[in-house]
Amino acid sequence: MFARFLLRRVLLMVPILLIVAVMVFMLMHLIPGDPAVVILGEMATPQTVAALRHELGLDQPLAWQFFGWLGQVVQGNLGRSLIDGTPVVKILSQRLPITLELGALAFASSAVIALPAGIVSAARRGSAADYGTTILALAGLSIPSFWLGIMLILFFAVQLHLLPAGGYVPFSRSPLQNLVSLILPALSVGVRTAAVMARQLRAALLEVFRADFIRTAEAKGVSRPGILFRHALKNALMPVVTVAGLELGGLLGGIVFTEVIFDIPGLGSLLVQSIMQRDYITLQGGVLVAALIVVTVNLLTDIAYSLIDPRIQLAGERRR
Amino acid sequence: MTPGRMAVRRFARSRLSMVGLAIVVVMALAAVFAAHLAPLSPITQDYNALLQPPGNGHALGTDELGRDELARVIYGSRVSLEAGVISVGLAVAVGVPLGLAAGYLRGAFDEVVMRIVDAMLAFPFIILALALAGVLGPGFTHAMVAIGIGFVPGFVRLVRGQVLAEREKDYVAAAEASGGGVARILFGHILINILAPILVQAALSMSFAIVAEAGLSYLGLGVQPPTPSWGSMLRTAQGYLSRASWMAYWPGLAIFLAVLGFNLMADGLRDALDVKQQL
Repeated sequence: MFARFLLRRVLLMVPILLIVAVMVFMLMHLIPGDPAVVILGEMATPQTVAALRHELGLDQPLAWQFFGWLGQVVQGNLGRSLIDGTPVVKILSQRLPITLELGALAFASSAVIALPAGIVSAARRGSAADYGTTILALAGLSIPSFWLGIMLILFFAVQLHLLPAGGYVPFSRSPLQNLVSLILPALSVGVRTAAVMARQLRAALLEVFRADFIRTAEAKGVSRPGILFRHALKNALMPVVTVAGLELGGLLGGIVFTEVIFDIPGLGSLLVQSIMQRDYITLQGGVLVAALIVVTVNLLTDIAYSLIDPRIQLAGERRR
Repeated sequence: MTPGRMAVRRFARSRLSMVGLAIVVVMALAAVFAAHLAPLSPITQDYNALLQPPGNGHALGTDELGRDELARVIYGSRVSLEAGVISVGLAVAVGVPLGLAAGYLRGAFDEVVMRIVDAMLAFPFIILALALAGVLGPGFTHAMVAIGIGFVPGFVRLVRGQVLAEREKDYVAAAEASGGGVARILFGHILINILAPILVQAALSMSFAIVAEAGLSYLGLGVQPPTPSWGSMLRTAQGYLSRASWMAYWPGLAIFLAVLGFNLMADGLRDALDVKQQL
Protein backbone atom coordinates (compact mmCIF):
# COMPACT_ATOMS: atom_id res chain seq x y z
CA MET A 1 0.00 0.00 0.00
CA PHE A 2 2.87 2.38 0.85
CA ALA A 3 4.49 1.71 -2.55
CA ARG A 4 1.25 2.62 -4.34
CA PHE A 5 0.93 5.75 -2.25
CA LEU A 6 4.52 6.69 -3.10
CA LEU A 7 4.06 6.04 -6.83
CA ARG A 8 0.86 8.09 -6.97
CA ARG A 9 2.52 10.93 -5.09
CA VAL A 10 5.57 10.91 -7.41
CA LEU A 11 3.36 10.82 -10.52
CA LEU A 12 1.47 13.85 -9.23
CA MET A 13 4.76 15.74 -9.34
CA VAL A 14 5.17 15.35 -13.12
CA PRO A 15 2.65 17.99 -14.30
CA ILE A 16 3.81 20.36 -11.55
CA LEU A 17 7.44 19.98 -12.59
CA LEU A 18 6.49 20.57 -16.23
CA ILE A 19 4.71 23.83 -15.38
CA VAL A 20 7.63 24.83 -13.14
CA ALA A 21 9.90 24.27 -16.16
CA VAL A 22 7.68 26.45 -18.37
CA MET A 23 7.73 29.22 -15.77
CA VAL A 24 11.49 29.12 -15.33
CA PHE A 25 11.95 29.10 -19.11
CA MET A 26 9.64 32.11 -19.46
CA LEU A 27 11.74 34.11 -16.98
CA MET A 28 14.12 35.04 -19.79
CA HIS A 29 11.19 36.21 -21.92
CA LEU A 30 9.85 38.50 -19.18
CA ILE A 31 12.88 40.75 -19.61
CA PRO A 32 11.53 44.02 -21.00
CA GLY A 33 12.84 44.44 -24.54
CA ASP A 34 15.37 42.18 -26.26
CA PRO A 35 17.10 39.96 -23.66
CA ALA A 36 20.29 39.95 -25.75
CA VAL A 37 20.42 43.77 -25.73
CA VAL A 38 19.69 43.86 -21.96
CA ILE A 39 22.48 41.34 -21.31
CA LEU A 40 25.06 43.01 -23.58
CA GLY A 41 24.08 46.62 -22.89
CA GLU A 42 22.90 49.40 -25.22
CA MET A 43 26.39 49.91 -26.70
CA ALA A 44 26.58 46.39 -28.19
CA THR A 45 26.87 46.12 -31.96
CA PRO A 46 24.02 44.52 -33.94
CA GLN A 47 26.40 41.68 -34.89
CA THR A 48 27.19 40.85 -31.23
CA VAL A 49 23.50 41.04 -30.33
CA ALA A 50 22.62 38.72 -33.25
CA ALA A 51 25.37 36.30 -32.22
CA LEU A 52 24.09 36.15 -28.62
CA ARG A 53 20.50 35.79 -29.81
CA HIS A 54 21.63 32.83 -31.91
CA GLU A 55 23.67 31.36 -29.02
CA LEU A 56 20.70 31.62 -26.65
CA GLY A 57 18.34 30.29 -29.32
CA LEU A 58 16.26 33.47 -29.17
CA ASP A 59 16.05 33.56 -32.99
CA GLN A 60 13.97 30.37 -33.00
CA PRO A 61 10.19 29.94 -32.43
CA LEU A 62 9.22 30.00 -28.73
CA ALA A 63 7.94 26.40 -28.55
CA TRP A 64 11.10 25.18 -30.30
CA GLN A 65 13.22 27.13 -27.82
CA PHE A 66 11.32 25.62 -24.87
CA PHE A 67 11.56 22.00 -25.96
CA GLY A 68 15.22 22.44 -26.88
CA TRP A 69 15.90 23.93 -23.43
CA LEU A 70 13.84 21.26 -21.66
CA GLY A 71 15.68 18.49 -23.53
CA GLN A 72 18.99 19.91 -22.31
CA VAL A 73 17.69 20.34 -18.73
CA VAL A 74 16.50 16.72 -18.61
CA GLN A 75 20.02 15.68 -19.62
CA GLY A 76 21.44 17.77 -16.78
CA ASN A 77 22.62 20.66 -18.94
CA LEU A 78 21.49 24.04 -17.58
CA GLY A 79 23.60 26.06 -19.99
CA ARG A 80 26.70 28.16 -19.41
CA SER A 81 27.16 31.27 -17.34
CA LEU A 82 27.02 34.42 -19.47
CA ILE A 83 29.87 35.89 -17.43
CA ASP A 84 32.66 33.34 -17.78
CA GLY A 85 31.18 30.41 -19.70
CA THR A 86 31.31 28.00 -16.72
CA PRO A 87 28.61 25.32 -16.93
CA VAL A 88 25.75 26.36 -14.62
CA VAL A 89 25.54 22.80 -13.27
CA LYS A 90 29.17 23.07 -12.14
CA ILE A 91 28.50 26.40 -10.40
CA LEU A 92 25.40 24.97 -8.72
CA SER A 93 27.26 21.85 -7.61
CA GLN A 94 29.70 24.10 -5.77
CA ARG A 95 27.07 26.44 -4.31
CA LEU A 96 24.21 24.11 -3.45
CA PRO A 97 25.94 21.98 -0.76
CA ILE A 98 26.72 25.17 1.18
CA THR A 99 23.06 26.25 1.09
CA LEU A 100 21.88 22.77 2.04
CA GLU A 101 24.32 22.72 4.95
CA LEU A 102 23.11 26.14 6.12
CA GLY A 103 19.49 25.04 5.67
CA ALA A 104 20.06 21.85 7.65
CA LEU A 105 21.80 23.74 10.46
CA ALA A 106 19.06 26.38 10.50
CA PHE A 107 16.39 23.69 10.63
CA ALA A 108 18.22 21.80 13.36
CA SER A 109 18.57 24.99 15.43
CA SER A 110 14.84 25.68 14.92
CA ALA A 111 13.95 22.22 16.20
CA VAL A 112 16.33 22.55 19.17
CA ILE A 113 14.66 25.85 20.14
CA ALA A 114 11.06 24.94 19.25
CA LEU A 115 10.66 21.48 20.81
CA PRO A 116 11.51 22.39 24.44
CA ALA A 117 9.79 25.79 24.07
CA GLY A 118 6.56 24.26 22.73
CA ILE A 119 6.56 21.44 25.29
CA VAL A 120 7.21 23.71 28.30
CA SER A 121 4.67 26.22 27.06
CA ALA A 122 1.92 23.60 26.69
CA ALA A 123 2.79 21.59 29.82
CA ARG A 124 2.80 24.73 31.97
CA ARG A 125 -0.06 26.57 30.32
CA GLY A 126 -0.72 30.01 31.81
CA SER A 127 2.65 30.15 33.61
CA ALA A 128 5.30 32.85 33.18
CA ALA A 129 7.24 30.42 30.97
CA ASP A 130 4.19 30.01 28.72
CA TYR A 131 3.66 33.78 28.37
CA GLY A 132 7.39 34.30 27.81
CA THR A 133 7.48 31.65 25.07
CA THR A 134 4.33 33.04 23.44
CA ILE A 135 5.75 36.57 23.32
CA LEU A 136 9.14 35.38 22.04
CA ALA A 137 7.41 33.27 19.38
CA LEU A 138 5.38 36.30 18.28
CA ALA A 139 8.58 38.35 18.08
CA GLY A 140 10.33 35.53 16.20
CA LEU A 141 7.53 35.49 13.63
CA SER A 142 7.77 39.23 13.05
CA ILE A 143 11.52 39.81 12.99
CA PRO A 144 12.91 39.88 9.44
CA SER A 145 15.85 37.49 9.02
CA PHE A 146 18.01 40.17 7.43
CA TRP A 147 17.62 42.55 10.40
CA LEU A 148 18.17 39.73 12.88
CA GLY A 149 21.31 38.78 10.95
CA ILE A 150 22.65 42.34 11.11
CA MET A 151 21.85 42.59 14.84
CA LEU A 152 23.62 39.27 15.50
CA ILE A 153 26.70 40.53 13.63
CA LEU A 154 26.59 43.79 15.61
CA PHE A 155 26.34 42.02 18.97
CA PHE A 156 28.43 38.85 18.58
CA ALA A 157 31.00 39.99 16.02
CA VAL A 158 31.41 43.77 16.24
CA GLN A 159 30.87 44.26 19.99
CA LEU A 160 31.80 40.95 21.65
CA HIS A 161 34.24 39.63 19.00
CA LEU A 162 32.98 36.11 19.74
CA LEU A 163 31.97 34.98 16.25
CA PRO A 164 32.93 35.99 12.71
CA ALA A 165 30.89 38.76 11.03
CA GLY A 166 30.76 36.80 7.80
CA GLY A 167 32.56 34.52 5.39
CA TYR A 168 32.46 30.77 4.97
CA VAL A 169 35.02 28.12 5.87
CA PRO A 170 34.54 24.82 3.98
CA PHE A 171 33.99 21.72 6.10
CA SER A 172 36.93 20.01 4.38
CA ARG A 173 39.30 22.75 5.55
CA SER A 174 38.19 22.88 9.19
CA PRO A 175 35.02 21.25 10.53
CA LEU A 176 35.10 23.41 13.65
CA GLN A 177 35.63 26.70 11.79
CA ASN A 178 32.95 25.61 9.34
CA LEU A 179 30.46 25.24 12.19
CA VAL A 180 31.57 28.52 13.79
CA SER A 181 31.14 30.38 10.49
CA LEU A 182 27.55 29.13 10.19
CA ILE A 183 26.26 29.67 13.76
CA LEU A 184 25.00 33.23 13.28
CA PRO A 185 23.60 32.65 9.76
CA ALA A 186 21.78 29.50 10.92
CA LEU A 187 20.28 31.34 13.88
CA SER A 188 19.14 34.31 11.80
CA VAL A 189 17.34 32.01 9.33
CA GLY A 190 16.08 29.51 11.89
CA VAL A 191 14.39 31.81 14.41
CA ARG A 192 11.25 32.28 12.32
CA THR A 193 10.82 28.55 11.74
CA ALA A 194 11.45 27.93 15.45
CA ALA A 195 8.66 30.38 16.31
CA VAL A 196 6.21 28.75 13.90
CA MET A 197 7.05 25.24 15.13
CA ALA A 198 6.86 26.21 18.83
CA ARG A 199 3.41 27.80 18.35
CA GLN A 200 2.18 24.82 16.36
CA LEU A 201 3.52 22.31 18.88
CA ARG A 202 1.96 24.18 21.82
CA ALA A 203 -1.44 24.31 20.09
CA ALA A 204 -1.25 20.64 19.02
CA LEU A 205 -0.23 19.45 22.50
CA LEU A 206 -3.04 21.40 24.17
CA GLU A 207 -5.47 19.79 21.71
CA VAL A 208 -4.10 16.30 22.42
CA PHE A 209 -4.21 16.87 26.21
CA ARG A 210 -8.02 17.12 25.88
CA ALA A 211 -8.32 13.79 24.04
CA ASP A 212 -9.99 10.76 25.66
CA PHE A 213 -6.94 8.51 25.47
CA ILE A 214 -4.96 11.00 27.58
CA ARG A 215 -7.70 10.96 30.23
CA THR A 216 -7.60 7.17 30.14
CA ALA A 217 -3.82 7.20 30.62
CA GLU A 218 -4.23 9.63 33.53
CA ALA A 219 -6.88 7.37 35.08
CA LYS A 220 -4.51 4.42 34.76
CA GLY A 221 -1.97 6.37 36.78
CA VAL A 222 0.59 7.11 34.06
CA SER A 223 2.97 9.84 35.26
CA ARG A 224 2.81 13.33 33.69
CA PRO A 225 6.16 12.97 31.88
CA GLY A 226 5.00 9.52 30.71
CA ILE A 227 1.78 10.98 29.30
CA LEU A 228 3.66 13.83 27.64
CA PHE A 229 6.50 11.90 26.04
CA ARG A 230 4.92 8.48 25.42
CA HIS A 231 1.41 9.49 24.40
CA ALA A 232 0.86 13.18 23.69
CA LEU A 233 4.05 14.17 21.86
CA LYS A 234 3.80 11.53 19.11
CA ASN A 235 0.25 12.60 18.29
CA ALA A 236 1.08 16.29 18.45
CA LEU A 237 4.08 16.00 16.15
CA MET A 238 2.07 15.39 12.99
CA PRO A 239 0.84 18.96 12.44
CA VAL A 240 4.30 20.17 13.44
CA VAL A 241 5.89 18.04 10.69
CA THR A 242 3.45 19.48 8.14
CA VAL A 243 4.12 23.05 9.20
CA ALA A 244 7.87 22.38 9.32
CA GLY A 245 7.72 21.07 5.74
CA LEU A 246 5.75 24.10 4.58
CA GLU A 247 8.19 26.39 6.37
CA LEU A 248 11.18 24.96 4.49
CA GLY A 249 10.23 26.99 1.42
CA GLY A 250 10.24 30.12 3.57
CA LEU A 251 13.51 29.03 5.11
CA LEU A 252 15.05 28.83 1.64
CA GLY A 253 13.80 32.37 0.96
CA GLY A 254 15.32 33.62 4.20
CA ILE A 255 18.62 31.99 3.26
CA VAL A 256 18.89 34.29 0.23
CA PHE A 257 19.20 37.38 2.44
CA THR A 258 21.31 35.61 5.06
CA GLU A 259 23.85 34.45 2.49
CA VAL A 260 24.17 38.01 1.19
CA ILE A 261 24.47 39.52 4.69
CA PHE A 262 27.05 36.97 5.88
CA ASP A 263 28.84 36.71 2.54
CA ILE A 264 28.24 32.97 2.20
CA PRO A 265 28.81 31.61 -1.33
CA GLY A 266 25.63 29.52 -1.55
CA LEU A 267 22.65 29.32 -3.92
CA GLY A 268 20.97 32.46 -2.51
CA SER A 269 23.95 34.73 -3.02
CA LEU A 270 24.41 33.16 -6.47
CA LEU A 271 20.85 34.18 -7.43
CA VAL A 272 21.44 37.76 -6.27
CA GLN A 273 24.84 37.88 -7.96
CA SER A 274 23.44 36.57 -11.24
CA ILE A 275 20.70 39.23 -11.15
CA MET A 276 23.25 41.98 -10.55
CA GLN A 277 25.47 40.65 -13.36
CA ARG A 278 22.50 40.04 -15.68
CA ASP A 279 23.57 36.40 -15.93
CA TYR A 280 20.06 35.17 -16.69
CA ILE A 281 21.15 31.65 -17.64
CA THR A 282 22.62 31.10 -14.17
CA LEU A 283 19.53 32.75 -12.65
CA GLN A 284 17.28 30.33 -14.56
CA GLY A 285 19.30 27.34 -13.34
CA GLY A 286 19.33 28.56 -9.74
CA VAL A 287 15.58 29.25 -9.64
CA LEU A 288 14.85 25.84 -11.18
CA VAL A 289 16.96 24.09 -8.55
CA ALA A 290 15.29 26.09 -5.74
CA ALA A 291 11.87 24.97 -7.00
CA LEU A 292 13.07 21.37 -7.29
CA ILE A 293 14.23 21.49 -3.66
CA VAL A 294 10.79 22.69 -2.54
CA VAL A 295 8.96 20.04 -4.60
CA THR A 296 11.25 17.33 -3.18
CA VAL A 297 10.83 18.60 0.39
CA ASN A 298 7.03 18.63 -0.08
CA LEU A 299 7.23 15.03 -1.26
CA LEU A 300 9.38 14.04 1.72
CA THR A 301 6.97 15.86 4.07
CA ASP A 302 4.06 13.89 2.62
CA ILE A 303 5.99 10.65 3.05
CA ALA A 304 6.95 11.53 6.64
CA TYR A 305 3.32 12.47 7.27
CA SER A 306 2.06 9.14 5.94
CA LEU A 307 4.61 7.21 8.02
CA ILE A 308 3.56 9.03 11.20
CA ASP A 309 -0.13 8.54 10.40
CA PRO A 310 -0.90 5.59 8.04
CA ARG A 311 -4.51 6.86 7.73
CA ILE A 312 -3.15 9.37 5.19
CA GLN A 313 -2.33 6.51 2.77
CA LEU A 314 -5.75 4.97 3.33
CA ALA A 315 -7.49 8.28 2.66
CA GLY A 316 -5.57 8.54 -0.59
CA GLU A 317 -6.60 5.01 -1.57
CA ARG A 318 -10.28 5.68 -0.78
CA ARG A 319 -10.32 8.82 -2.93
CA ARG A 320 -9.19 6.86 -5.95
CA MET B 1 -26.64 41.75 17.59
CA THR B 2 -25.46 41.43 13.98
CA PRO B 3 -22.52 39.07 13.22
CA GLY B 4 -20.49 42.10 12.12
CA ARG B 5 -20.97 43.89 15.43
CA MET B 6 -20.15 40.73 17.34
CA ALA B 7 -16.92 40.39 15.38
CA VAL B 8 -15.98 44.02 16.11
CA ARG B 9 -16.71 43.45 19.81
CA ARG B 10 -14.61 40.25 19.88
CA PHE B 11 -11.76 42.07 18.11
CA ALA B 12 -11.93 45.03 20.51
CA ARG B 13 -11.86 42.72 23.55
CA SER B 14 -8.53 41.20 22.51
CA ARG B 15 -5.67 43.33 23.84
CA LEU B 16 -3.12 41.95 21.40
CA SER B 17 -5.40 42.67 18.43
CA MET B 18 -5.85 46.25 19.62
CA VAL B 19 -2.06 46.62 20.01
CA GLY B 20 -1.72 45.40 16.42
CA LEU B 21 -4.39 47.81 15.21
CA ALA B 22 -2.74 50.69 17.08
CA ILE B 23 0.65 49.94 15.46
CA VAL B 24 -0.95 49.78 12.00
CA VAL B 25 -2.90 53.03 12.58
CA VAL B 26 0.25 54.85 13.78
CA MET B 27 2.14 53.55 10.74
CA ALA B 28 -0.65 54.67 8.39
CA LEU B 29 -0.77 58.12 10.00
CA ALA B 30 3.02 58.42 9.73
CA ALA B 31 2.82 57.48 6.05
CA VAL B 32 0.00 59.91 5.24
CA PHE B 33 1.28 62.85 7.30
CA ALA B 34 5.02 62.20 6.79
CA ALA B 35 5.56 65.73 5.47
CA HIS B 36 4.10 67.21 8.68
CA LEU B 37 5.58 64.75 11.15
CA ALA B 38 9.15 64.50 9.88
CA PRO B 39 11.37 67.12 11.56
CA LEU B 40 13.52 67.55 8.45
CA SER B 41 13.60 66.52 4.81
CA PRO B 42 14.56 62.85 4.43
CA ILE B 43 16.89 63.57 1.51
CA THR B 44 18.61 66.79 2.59
CA GLN B 45 22.28 66.09 3.18
CA ASP B 46 24.21 67.89 5.93
CA TYR B 47 27.96 67.44 5.65
CA ASN B 48 28.43 69.07 9.06
CA ALA B 49 26.39 66.33 10.72
CA LEU B 50 27.67 63.06 9.25
CA LEU B 51 27.08 59.92 11.36
CA GLN B 52 25.77 61.91 14.33
CA PRO B 53 24.54 59.71 17.22
CA PRO B 54 20.97 60.26 18.49
CA GLY B 55 20.53 63.70 20.10
CA ASN B 56 21.73 67.18 19.11
CA GLY B 57 18.72 68.04 16.99
CA HIS B 58 18.53 64.58 15.41
CA ALA B 59 16.44 62.38 17.73
CA LEU B 60 17.53 59.15 15.98
CA GLY B 61 20.90 60.41 14.71
CA THR B 62 22.05 60.90 11.13
CA ASP B 63 23.39 58.66 8.37
CA GLU B 64 26.63 58.74 6.36
CA LEU B 65 25.39 61.70 4.33
CA GLY B 66 24.11 63.64 7.34
CA ARG B 67 20.45 62.87 6.58
CA ASP B 68 18.06 62.78 9.52
CA GLU B 69 17.28 59.15 10.47
CA LEU B 70 13.91 59.98 12.07
CA ALA B 71 12.72 61.72 8.90
CA ARG B 72 13.89 58.79 6.79
CA VAL B 73 12.18 56.24 9.05
CA ILE B 74 8.92 58.23 8.92
CA TYR B 75 9.04 58.57 5.12
CA GLY B 76 10.07 54.92 4.87
CA SER B 77 6.69 53.95 6.32
CA ARG B 78 5.10 55.45 3.21
CA VAL B 79 7.04 53.11 0.92
CA SER B 80 6.33 50.07 3.10
CA LEU B 81 2.62 50.72 3.37
CA GLU B 82 2.28 51.50 -0.34
CA ALA B 83 4.18 48.29 -1.07
CA GLY B 84 1.80 46.28 1.08
CA VAL B 85 -1.40 47.85 -0.24
CA ILE B 86 -0.40 47.68 -3.92
CA SER B 87 1.01 44.15 -3.93
CA VAL B 88 -1.78 42.66 -1.79
CA GLY B 89 -4.36 44.60 -3.84
CA LEU B 90 -2.90 43.13 -7.02
CA ALA B 91 -2.94 39.61 -5.56
CA VAL B 92 -6.58 40.01 -4.43
CA ALA B 93 -7.63 41.45 -7.79
CA VAL B 94 -6.12 38.48 -9.66
CA GLY B 95 -6.34 35.67 -7.12
CA VAL B 96 -9.90 36.10 -5.84
CA PRO B 97 -11.72 36.00 -9.22
CA LEU B 98 -9.54 33.07 -10.33
CA GLY B 99 -10.26 31.16 -7.12
CA LEU B 100 -13.99 31.92 -7.36
CA ALA B 101 -14.16 30.71 -10.95
CA ALA B 102 -12.03 27.61 -10.34
CA GLY B 103 -14.06 26.53 -7.32
CA TYR B 104 -17.43 27.19 -8.93
CA LEU B 105 -16.86 26.05 -12.51
CA ARG B 106 -14.64 23.05 -11.59
CA GLY B 107 -13.69 20.82 -14.55
CA ALA B 108 -10.85 21.60 -16.91
CA PHE B 109 -10.61 25.27 -15.89
CA ASP B 110 -10.16 24.29 -12.25
CA GLU B 111 -7.57 21.64 -13.16
CA VAL B 112 -5.48 24.06 -15.23
CA VAL B 113 -5.65 26.87 -12.67
CA MET B 114 -4.79 24.60 -9.74
CA ARG B 115 -1.86 22.93 -11.50
CA ILE B 116 -0.44 26.39 -12.26
CA VAL B 117 -1.04 27.37 -8.62
CA ASP B 118 0.73 24.20 -7.41
CA ALA B 119 3.67 24.96 -9.67
CA MET B 120 3.84 28.58 -8.44
CA LEU B 121 3.78 27.35 -4.86
CA ALA B 122 6.85 25.25 -5.68
CA PHE B 123 8.86 28.48 -5.83
CA PRO B 124 9.84 29.88 -2.46
CA PHE B 125 7.93 33.19 -2.27
CA ILE B 126 11.02 35.38 -1.86
CA ILE B 127 12.91 33.60 -4.64
CA LEU B 128 9.96 34.02 -7.03
CA ALA B 129 9.71 37.73 -6.15
CA LEU B 130 13.48 38.10 -6.41
CA ALA B 131 13.67 36.41 -9.82
CA LEU B 132 10.76 38.46 -11.19
CA ALA B 133 12.15 41.72 -9.81
CA GLY B 134 15.54 40.70 -11.20
CA VAL B 135 14.37 40.17 -14.76
CA LEU B 136 11.92 43.10 -14.78
CA GLY B 137 14.65 45.42 -13.48
CA PRO B 138 15.08 47.40 -10.25
CA GLY B 139 12.33 49.79 -9.19
CA PHE B 140 9.35 50.17 -6.90
CA THR B 141 6.66 49.24 -9.46
CA HIS B 142 8.48 46.12 -10.62
CA ALA B 143 9.07 45.05 -7.01
CA MET B 144 5.35 45.48 -6.24
CA VAL B 145 4.33 43.45 -9.29
CA ALA B 146 6.84 40.74 -8.34
CA ILE B 147 5.60 40.54 -4.73
CA GLY B 148 1.94 40.69 -5.80
CA ILE B 149 2.38 37.80 -8.25
CA GLY B 150 4.02 35.81 -5.45
CA PHE B 151 0.84 36.17 -3.36
CA VAL B 152 -1.63 35.17 -6.11
CA PRO B 153 -1.45 31.36 -5.64
CA GLY B 154 -2.18 31.69 -1.91
CA PHE B 155 -5.37 33.66 -2.59
CA VAL B 156 -6.49 31.35 -5.42
CA ARG B 157 -6.09 28.26 -3.25
CA LEU B 158 -7.82 29.85 -0.25
CA VAL B 159 -10.81 31.20 -2.24
CA ARG B 160 -11.25 27.99 -4.26
CA GLY B 161 -11.37 25.95 -1.06
CA GLN B 162 -14.01 28.25 0.40
CA VAL B 163 -16.11 28.18 -2.79
CA LEU B 164 -16.08 24.37 -2.87
CA ALA B 165 -17.78 24.39 0.52
CA GLU B 166 -20.17 27.26 -0.28
CA ARG B 167 -21.40 26.03 -3.67
CA GLU B 168 -23.20 23.12 -2.00
CA LYS B 169 -25.27 25.42 0.23
CA ASP B 170 -28.94 26.22 -0.27
CA TYR B 171 -28.51 29.92 -0.96
CA VAL B 172 -26.36 29.13 -4.02
CA ALA B 173 -28.94 26.62 -5.29
CA ALA B 174 -31.63 29.27 -4.76
CA ALA B 175 -29.61 31.86 -6.69
CA GLU B 176 -29.07 29.36 -9.52
CA ALA B 177 -32.76 28.44 -9.58
CA SER B 178 -33.78 32.07 -9.81
CA GLY B 179 -31.69 32.34 -12.98
CA GLY B 180 -28.73 34.33 -11.71
CA GLY B 181 -25.73 34.42 -14.04
CA VAL B 182 -22.38 32.94 -13.00
CA ALA B 183 -20.84 36.36 -12.34
CA ARG B 184 -23.79 37.41 -10.20
CA ILE B 185 -23.70 34.19 -8.18
CA LEU B 186 -19.95 34.41 -7.67
CA PHE B 187 -19.60 38.09 -6.85
CA GLY B 188 -23.10 38.85 -5.55
CA HIS B 189 -23.61 35.82 -3.34
CA ILE B 190 -20.59 33.57 -2.72
CA LEU B 191 -17.94 36.29 -2.40
CA ILE B 192 -19.89 38.08 0.33
CA ASN B 193 -20.01 34.89 2.35
CA ILE B 194 -16.28 34.19 2.14
CA LEU B 195 -14.97 37.70 2.80
CA ALA B 196 -13.76 36.86 6.32
CA PRO B 197 -10.92 34.47 5.40
CA ILE B 198 -9.92 36.72 2.49
CA LEU B 199 -9.63 39.64 4.92
CA VAL B 200 -7.47 37.59 7.29
CA GLN B 201 -5.26 36.40 4.44
CA ALA B 202 -4.90 40.00 3.20
CA ALA B 203 -3.80 41.23 6.65
CA LEU B 204 -1.28 38.38 6.90
CA SER B 205 -0.02 39.06 3.38
CA MET B 206 0.55 42.73 4.28
CA SER B 207 3.18 41.67 6.81
CA PHE B 208 4.90 39.42 4.23
CA ALA B 209 4.76 42.22 1.65
CA ILE B 210 6.46 44.67 4.01
CA VAL B 211 9.29 42.19 4.67
CA ALA B 212 9.56 41.33 0.96
CA GLU B 213 9.73 45.00 -0.10
CA ALA B 214 12.33 45.73 2.56
CA GLY B 215 14.27 42.65 1.45
CA LEU B 216 14.21 43.61 -2.23
CA SER B 217 15.21 47.18 -1.35
CA TYR B 218 18.00 45.77 0.84
CA LEU B 219 19.30 43.94 -2.24
CA GLY B 220 18.97 47.09 -4.35
CA LEU B 221 16.02 45.79 -6.39
CA GLY B 222 13.25 47.84 -4.78
CA VAL B 223 12.94 51.57 -4.21
CA GLN B 224 15.88 53.45 -5.66
CA PRO B 225 17.87 56.23 -3.91
CA PRO B 226 17.36 58.87 -2.72
CA THR B 227 13.79 57.78 -1.77
CA PRO B 228 14.06 56.43 1.78
CA SER B 229 13.07 52.81 2.31
CA TRP B 230 13.66 50.77 5.44
CA GLY B 231 15.36 48.00 3.45
CA SER B 232 17.84 50.25 1.67
CA MET B 233 18.55 52.05 4.96
CA LEU B 234 19.52 48.69 6.48
CA ARG B 235 21.81 47.92 3.58
CA THR B 236 23.66 51.20 4.08
CA ALA B 237 23.73 50.68 7.85
CA GLN B 238 25.52 47.35 7.51
CA GLY B 239 28.60 49.16 6.24
CA TYR B 240 28.74 51.38 9.34
CA LEU B 241 28.02 48.87 12.13
CA SER B 242 31.16 49.63 14.13
CA ARG B 243 30.93 53.43 13.73
CA ALA B 244 27.20 54.15 13.70
CA SER B 245 25.23 51.18 15.00
CA TRP B 246 22.08 53.29 15.46
CA MET B 247 21.69 53.38 11.69
CA ALA B 248 20.83 49.66 11.85
CA TYR B 249 18.46 49.92 14.84
CA TRP B 250 15.69 52.20 13.58
CA PRO B 251 14.79 50.88 10.12
CA GLY B 252 14.94 47.29 11.42
CA LEU B 253 12.81 48.16 14.43
CA ALA B 254 10.32 49.89 12.13
CA ILE B 255 10.03 46.78 9.91
CA PHE B 256 9.69 44.57 13.00
CA LEU B 257 6.91 46.71 14.49
CA ALA B 258 5.03 47.00 11.20
CA VAL B 259 5.15 43.24 10.66
CA LEU B 260 4.19 42.60 14.28
CA GLY B 261 1.24 45.00 13.93
CA PHE B 262 -0.16 43.25 10.86
CA ASN B 263 0.50 39.78 12.36
CA LEU B 264 -1.39 40.69 15.55
CA MET B 265 -4.20 42.23 13.53
CA ALA B 266 -4.46 39.12 11.35
CA ASP B 267 -4.55 36.90 14.46
CA GLY B 268 -7.26 39.12 15.97
CA LEU B 269 -9.32 39.14 12.78
CA ARG B 270 -9.06 35.35 12.52
CA ASP B 271 -10.42 34.95 16.05
CA ALA B 272 -13.03 37.71 15.74
CA LEU B 273 -14.35 36.48 12.39
CA ASP B 274 -14.16 32.86 13.53
CA VAL B 275 -12.05 31.78 10.57
CA LYS B 276 -11.23 28.16 11.29
CA GLN B 277 -9.16 27.37 8.23
CA GLN B 278 -5.47 27.40 8.70
CA LEU B 279 -4.17 30.34 6.70
